Amino acid sequence: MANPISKDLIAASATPLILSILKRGDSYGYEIIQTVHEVSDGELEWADGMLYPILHRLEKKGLVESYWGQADTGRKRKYYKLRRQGKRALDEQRRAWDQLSTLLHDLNGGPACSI
Amino acid sequence: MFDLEREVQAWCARIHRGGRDRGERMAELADHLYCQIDRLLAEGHDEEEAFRIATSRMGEPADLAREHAKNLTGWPKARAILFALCTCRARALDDLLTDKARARWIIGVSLFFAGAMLVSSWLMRGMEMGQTGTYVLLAIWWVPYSVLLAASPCRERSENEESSAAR
Repeated sequence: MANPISKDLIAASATPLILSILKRGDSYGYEIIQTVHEVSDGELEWADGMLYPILHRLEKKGLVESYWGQADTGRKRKYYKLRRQGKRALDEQRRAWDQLSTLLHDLNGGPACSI
Repeated sequence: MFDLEREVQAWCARIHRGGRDRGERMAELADHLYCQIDRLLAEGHDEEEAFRIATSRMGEPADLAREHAKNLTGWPKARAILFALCTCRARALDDLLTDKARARWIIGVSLFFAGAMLVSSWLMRGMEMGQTGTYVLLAIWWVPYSVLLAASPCRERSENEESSAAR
């Protein structure tokens, strides 16, 4: 099994991951957690409850919006939807992560760069 | 007998202690718990066990409550800060304040006490025993000030820095 991802890295990647999931379609807390778990093959373990303060902060920043719907069970369920501002923020974050990834690759066995 | 609905509501209430939309946030958290519990029940766990596992996956209630408190604004936030102050919960206070708010906190407390001293000096000017009165007031002010200082996040932070420097 690969090394577990550190808590700091999990925290730093939470926002782009949530925005990426919402880019695929509207979703709710439990489903977001399940998606992360499945896509990462269980490598990324979030404390379930920590997702909600992040979602609320994203909503406050205007990156996502929420609405109430109904689950199959009849329970009230809060769904999140990505806003245009959120799509822009996701693009910016993806560029930043790509840059970091390239940098790491270059510094660890990639082609030598001249400064 | 174990009452699942009551337990879920009580658990959610521990996380969300205030805020205008407390009811909605509790409902959201409860929906998550029920999703997890339904899954665990389908796997063969009983209700009590499913509840215990589901809540443990959510994380520590105190940590979650702190995270959610960061999102509070206006009066609910002021109330949370006041509660943290009154109970000398420096850690909770630290979580509620950003670096900017921390600086404002120090300046605010200092200005308040400086102002209070100036006003009392002015009120007691020319009074007999005025000087003694000022000293007495100073001593009285020192008590709440010490309490506030004890609860101040800055004190806890500097203590942590000192202890880590000593290691």
